[in-house]
Amino acid sequence: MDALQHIFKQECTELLEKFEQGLVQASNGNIHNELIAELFRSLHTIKGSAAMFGFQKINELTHELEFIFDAIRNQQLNLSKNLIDLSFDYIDITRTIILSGDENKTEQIYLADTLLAKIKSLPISSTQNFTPAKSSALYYIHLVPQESLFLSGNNLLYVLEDLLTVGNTVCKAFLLMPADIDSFAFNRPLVGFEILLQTHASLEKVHEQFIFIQDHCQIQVEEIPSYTGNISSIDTKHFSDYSASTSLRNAIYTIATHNIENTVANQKNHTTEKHHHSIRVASYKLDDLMSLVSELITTQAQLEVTAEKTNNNQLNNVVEALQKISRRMRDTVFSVCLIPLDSVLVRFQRMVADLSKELYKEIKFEAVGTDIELDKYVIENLVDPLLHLIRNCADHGIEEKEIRLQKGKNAAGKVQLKAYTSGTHAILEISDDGAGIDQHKILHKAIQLGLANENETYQEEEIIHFIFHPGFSTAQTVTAVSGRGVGMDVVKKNIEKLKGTIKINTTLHKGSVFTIKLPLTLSITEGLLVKIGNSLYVIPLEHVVKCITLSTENIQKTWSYTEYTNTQLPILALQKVFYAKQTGAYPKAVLVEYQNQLVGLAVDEVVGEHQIVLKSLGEFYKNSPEYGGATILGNGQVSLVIDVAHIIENNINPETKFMYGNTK
Amino acid sequence: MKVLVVDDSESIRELLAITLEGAGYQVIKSTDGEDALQKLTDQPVNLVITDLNMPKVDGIELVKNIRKQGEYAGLPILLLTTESQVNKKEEAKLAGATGWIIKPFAQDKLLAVVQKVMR
Repeated sequence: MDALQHIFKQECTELLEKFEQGLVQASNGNIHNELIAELFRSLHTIKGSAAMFGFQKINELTHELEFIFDAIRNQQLNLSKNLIDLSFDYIDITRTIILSGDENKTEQIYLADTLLAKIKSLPISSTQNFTPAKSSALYYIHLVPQESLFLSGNNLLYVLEDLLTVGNTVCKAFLLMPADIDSFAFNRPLVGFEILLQTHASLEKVHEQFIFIQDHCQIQVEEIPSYTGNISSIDTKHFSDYSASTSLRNAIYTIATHNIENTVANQKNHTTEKHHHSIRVASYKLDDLMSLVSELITTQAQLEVTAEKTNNNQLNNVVEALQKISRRMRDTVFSVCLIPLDSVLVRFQRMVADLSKELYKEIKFEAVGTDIELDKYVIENLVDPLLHLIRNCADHGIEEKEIRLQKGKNAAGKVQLKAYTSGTHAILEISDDGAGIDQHKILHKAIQLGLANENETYQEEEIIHFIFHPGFSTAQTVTAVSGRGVGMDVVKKNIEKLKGTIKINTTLHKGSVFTIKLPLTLSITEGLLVKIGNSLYVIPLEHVVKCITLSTENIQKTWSYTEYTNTQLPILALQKVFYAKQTGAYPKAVLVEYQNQLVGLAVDEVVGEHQIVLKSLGEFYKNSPEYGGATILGNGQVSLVIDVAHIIENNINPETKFMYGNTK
Repeated sequence: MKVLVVDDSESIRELLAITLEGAGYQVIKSTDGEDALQKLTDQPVNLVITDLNMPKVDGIELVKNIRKQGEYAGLPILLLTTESQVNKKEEAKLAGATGWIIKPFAQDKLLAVVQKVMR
């Protein structure tokens, strides 16, 4: 999919260029039909691809502009100077979005929406044409498929789905029972449909939806004139009140006559939004559900192994179906409790934008990996600490523009929020490229406050730790933004409440990194099962980039290098790390990403993907950070889950820094 | 089973190819109607999936041209289109298209339609 994204970006850039060239030609007065058709087609292709690759904003923008160019093509509109300017704006905005690969940045949304409003206010725009003043009509559709439908290659379900794009529908199926049981056959249609369609579209347009199936179905479409309400606001329960023999048509007639007095008043209150009904559930019930699903998945894996041994195809089919269902169940149960960190991102963006103005500093906020989903409770309780840290970075971290330029840095400071998972933990890093924290100042202040002893020497970490003491602030002047010294202690407390930890890494004049490590409440992930020696281990799949076979027969050292796509790839022999005996020649390497670099983990065998239920390790493993947890495999065997980041970190020789130079 | 995929957008073409190849189909890619007609004469295929709006020969023209050739009378042709072109359905049907897929499509839905048509 990544490769496709890349192709999409490239293609879009090329199309934009082509569109731009065409516009330049047009602005020089060289407008002809061919050119307009060309411009239209570029837009059309961009629109289609953007929708396919999830760029909704581009899709929306392009759709509006395409509509304008369609009108120009049909000579309903002239390609005026104003239109050309708008089109240039469109190119700029779309290009920025494509380059950044993220269309949800506040500034981009703002720019796009402004342009959208401008286009929409033009004399011809899609919204005006698609929603005429005419109020919606209600159609009753009676559809009985015939046997030939199955052979025609059409799927009724998709036709029904397409109907949804035309308007709101209520659909009710009825059984088509054969006259006698002997003529009952599975290749005959057994279900017919009654559909109520409320739409602004014309009768022809409704008929059009059935073009591909009309030869294979009996279709009746009639307009129901008396109903003026909104069918989406009707509780479908109403329809079930009518017994199966009563048709939907009669039902709606009854409802229509009942409602007719109320509808006029009601209509004003109805919004087109869909209402999502939600219920509140006690959280312990969700916890129960979660642990039950975990158990289910472990049991299901055991069943899979047992079933495989029997060679019973029927049983295997059932087990496979069960596996699919339990996977879906797992995902659904988890999604119930999870929300993406993105959902609170806009608050950080806003704050940085505001601070940037208040402090007269140029600050860029960057979010990386914030599509990570966390427990709702965790996210709610993370917002304040994160706001505080980001505020600190912007206020204390990022220097004044002049100072930055003196130091040879970019005039614009950068505050970054980066999120990723590592084993059983979610890691959030808030970093800035500002001044860093001056340890001397902190120690000095700590001594002043009586927290530290003047005659003692402190480790770097210990010194930094002082800022977590209540009432600690080194800011020379208290600004309106931050620096009252209430804060870091609260941040730490909040994080600890979530059973997390916070660490600070700072380099004077380079910047600071605050690392928050939180345990993931969810405990089921996908992993790659590998064999090292005679034991099985699990490497969490989110770290795995690729698996390759090494060209060396036997690995002699803990670290070695192998050539991979013209670079030297460091290989960490897990056999050596775990003191295991290498089984078989030509070991495999699982390529993982570690601090933006590919590192190979040499294993004896790659067994396959595995759904793992993470169990935390007991007291005995407290000092073994290289394990992120353990899981029970299908055959009941326990396997350790490797914490990729830790295992690499632990094996970097602190003196020779074998893997690469600048790591601590 | 061979599928001829015709689209002037490279990304959509690749997406179709990856999806279909993943399901075991052999995919022949083509960038426009003219090229597609050429490719069809070179080798027989079991299905054509084509975009509607393309330079040179567009989707509907392509369908008409294919149907003109007697040997392809039964060849299923699916049109790929965006929602705003729904009014072209009638025209496409008359030209001889078997069905269509609305962009953006879900990969599993695409495969379901393809499987159904190929049967």
